[in-house]
Amino acid sequence: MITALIIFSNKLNAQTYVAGDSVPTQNYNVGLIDSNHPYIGMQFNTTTAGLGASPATNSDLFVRLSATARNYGHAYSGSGTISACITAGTVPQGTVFTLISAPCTTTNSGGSLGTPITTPIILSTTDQNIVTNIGTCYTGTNDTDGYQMTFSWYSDNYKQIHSQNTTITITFTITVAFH
Amino acid sequence: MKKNLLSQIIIVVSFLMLSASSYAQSNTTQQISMGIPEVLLINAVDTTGNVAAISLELTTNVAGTAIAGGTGTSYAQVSSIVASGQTRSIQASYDVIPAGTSLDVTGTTPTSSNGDGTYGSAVSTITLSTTPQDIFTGIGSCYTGTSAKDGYRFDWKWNASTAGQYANIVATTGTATTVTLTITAGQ
Repeated sequence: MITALIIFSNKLNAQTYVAGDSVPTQNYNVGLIDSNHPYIGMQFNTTTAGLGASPATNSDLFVRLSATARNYGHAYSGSGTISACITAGTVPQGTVFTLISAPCTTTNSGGSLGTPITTPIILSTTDQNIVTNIGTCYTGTNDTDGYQMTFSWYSDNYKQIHSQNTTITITFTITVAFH
Repeated sequence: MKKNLLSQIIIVVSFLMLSASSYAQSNTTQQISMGIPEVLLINAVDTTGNVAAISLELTTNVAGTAIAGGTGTSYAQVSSIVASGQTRSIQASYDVIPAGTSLDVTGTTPTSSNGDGTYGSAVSTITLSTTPQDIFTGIGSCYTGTSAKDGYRFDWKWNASTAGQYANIVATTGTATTVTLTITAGQ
């Protein structure tokens, strides 16, 4: 019996999937997340005397995922989430950096794709949900498949701004859980 | 022995089920480059917000008095982003003014709600010359707005010069003088 379980377990792990693939439902949870990995460079600038630096936005990032859930007889409520936080670097002083997700694209996706949070989150080092109620689903694997993320960068205290170049790292996490 | 094996199987199955029924989590990262360049922009405008000359006229209609009354106002609309710990100045100088006269300026920092930031402060009234002199100092990151009467205010006063120079004044129908406003690099 023990031998049979080990073989079964190995068989489950033999197939490799990438985020966005349709993953067959199996006896374990799957949460794969990836993106199209664009270069994102944002500038806070003005070219007209008298005007403040314009807020900068960028929508080049698409996050794709595959989520599969298995509930062993319990009702699965689709409570998976995508969350985001800053894991390296610091947003320049005097500015605010926000993120909001669009609903998942529909061209190559399927399943319970969840619901984006409607108000942009202010990115910080604390993980915050940007999409909730994700069930078993896949987004597709093309560059523009998945959840389109929009970053916005603006000033909340102009006196504190100073010229600089910096890089921050945003980490997106998918969590698939049962209830 | 048989009972012991059964217990082990139950433990292994329970462990696998517990593992499978908790949660799965994975992540991906995205780097973002954020740039704030230095900004150093200045635009001189009249009281209507347009780039135009202002006219000053010295005259008198009371016999026995010196000519006077050459006053006017203009604004400098500015956008500035400084490096950390630095400030800037706005300086003014002229190329040439009619002999026997002097040109003074009094500055006022922006008051419009169209702007924001660190405006610095105005120095006291300055008698201009061909050498740039500070009119405003301590300017940090700021913008003034672009509407009429937005910006750093300059009140100009053109008068007969100090005593002893009056003999040098000659009548003229219009002499153009260029006053150069400069916002300095951060220091």
